[in-house]
Amino acid sequence: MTDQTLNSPTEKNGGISRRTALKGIGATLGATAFATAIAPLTEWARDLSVDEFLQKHYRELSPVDLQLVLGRLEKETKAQYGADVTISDHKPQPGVQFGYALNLSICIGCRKCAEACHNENNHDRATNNSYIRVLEMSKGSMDMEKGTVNYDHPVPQKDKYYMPVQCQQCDNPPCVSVCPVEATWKESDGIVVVDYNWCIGCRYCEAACPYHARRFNWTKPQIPKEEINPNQSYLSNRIRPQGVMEKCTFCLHRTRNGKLPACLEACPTGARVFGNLLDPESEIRWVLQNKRVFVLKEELGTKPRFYYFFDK
Amino acid sequence: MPQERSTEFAHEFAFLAPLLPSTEQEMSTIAQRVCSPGKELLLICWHIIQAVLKALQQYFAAAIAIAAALACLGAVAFDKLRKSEENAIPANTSIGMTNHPTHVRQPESPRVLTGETNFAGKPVSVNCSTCHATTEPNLELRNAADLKEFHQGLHFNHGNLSCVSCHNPGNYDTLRLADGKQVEFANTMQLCSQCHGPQARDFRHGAHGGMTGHWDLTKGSRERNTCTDCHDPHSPAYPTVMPVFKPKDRNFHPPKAH
Repeated sequence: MTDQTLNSPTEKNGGISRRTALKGIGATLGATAFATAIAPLTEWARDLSVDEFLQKHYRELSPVDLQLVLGRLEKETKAQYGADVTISDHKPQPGVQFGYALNLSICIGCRKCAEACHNENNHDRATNNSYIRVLEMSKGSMDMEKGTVNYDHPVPQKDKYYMPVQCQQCDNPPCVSVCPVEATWKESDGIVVVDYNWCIGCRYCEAACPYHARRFNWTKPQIPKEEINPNQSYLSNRIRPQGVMEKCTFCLHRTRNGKLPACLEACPTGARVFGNLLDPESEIRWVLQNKRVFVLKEELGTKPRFYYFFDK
Repeated sequence: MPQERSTEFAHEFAFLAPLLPSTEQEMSTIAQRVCSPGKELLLICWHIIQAVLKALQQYFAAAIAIAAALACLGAVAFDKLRKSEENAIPANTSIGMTNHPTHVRQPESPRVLTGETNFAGKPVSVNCSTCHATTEPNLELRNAADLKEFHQGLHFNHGNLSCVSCHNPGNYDTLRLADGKQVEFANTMQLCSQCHGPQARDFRHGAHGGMTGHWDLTKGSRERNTCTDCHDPHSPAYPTVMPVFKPKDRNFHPPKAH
């Protein structure tokens, strides 16, 4: 044995044995393969700062931490989009429960609400993303699954009616119960929100929502600097990261300051009614008490906060 | 003790002594002097007053206590009532907070372009009355095609109305209600509401017509459309429009025909 070792050619020549060479090649190939395999991950994590990675859930942030987070997000927006924005944290007001109603007799399907939502909420420009889908429905049918959204002809058509659908802010929201990480929840004023920094992008909520109201950020939203709405809120229209879910928040950055939602202001026909359900003098209460009101897919027991009605 | 206290309070009534006669004799003389037919009545009154005074003297302490207790109860009850009134007001509109105004846009009086330009090159427009003051109104005119001159090409499709159903033949710079009462162009909504009651009702409750501004009027004002912002009064049906902003998302492709 000793003899053989001593007499081995490699030792003699001071060269590399075949085995060592193979090992080296194997290790190199392995490392390369590993690096290639995790490359998408490193690319994804490129924008992820340590602070962001260590950030707590929105509801566990102390006021001081929250301010730090908002400041960091503003800086990130400046760095990535070149826009000066204000990201605030709008809290629910006591004594306010939001409700929304839509008059299907008046809606003409012009899609101005969807456009206003797109601009207000800093959606990705390339995909025309919006929290509102306007369905063109055949008169006599109430099945929203049979509606079309790609209609491209003068509206309203005689035999059609138009039904804009957005988040119904359910009191029993299936999207909230399926979230495995509690990144989405219902706030005390009735608005269902998402912590975009806590969402893991599993899209369970998108599958669970019977109203197809949730959207997924397949890519990082691309918006020209001058088109960015600078009035932003942590839980609503700040520019979302890639790979997270988003949804209509009844424009909480506006409505929690007493303003009307952007889709209502854009509606040229006045089909939309918004207000505080707890205020007996509010417009929304008058509609609920005096019009024939219904909710979508009532049989599912989701208890929507979004009501539809007809005039006659 | 109570007896002593009541006599003590009796001094409080000393100021009444000069005003009232002390004995029945005295009173009857006074009564006789005043008027003989009412003598009996006056005497009865005097007896009652005397009795009340006596009772007051006896129970003055008790009376004060009861009065005080009643006053206290009253104050508490009033306070509660006031508080319950405060509670009845919705949570986010507190007393003393002034609501911001809801401003309804008002249509302007129409001016008619003459097609002429003035010395500065600006188009000249005139009031309706400039021509109509000297033109005999045609009360039977019901459609645009019958207009012989001016207003050519006007599209009219508004029920079976005639021009003067709304326009005021007495003063063409104004409109008129069904009862002939003059109404300014700024108050067109009043005119429309005569026939379109359900719409006017819905408008009043914020369920018809577009708006901008605040849902919460304690935080800011609101601007609302008037009828003619959306409806052409001569052809009020909302026009057909091309939809904007075609969606590009993956969902909801047109359903396949089965």
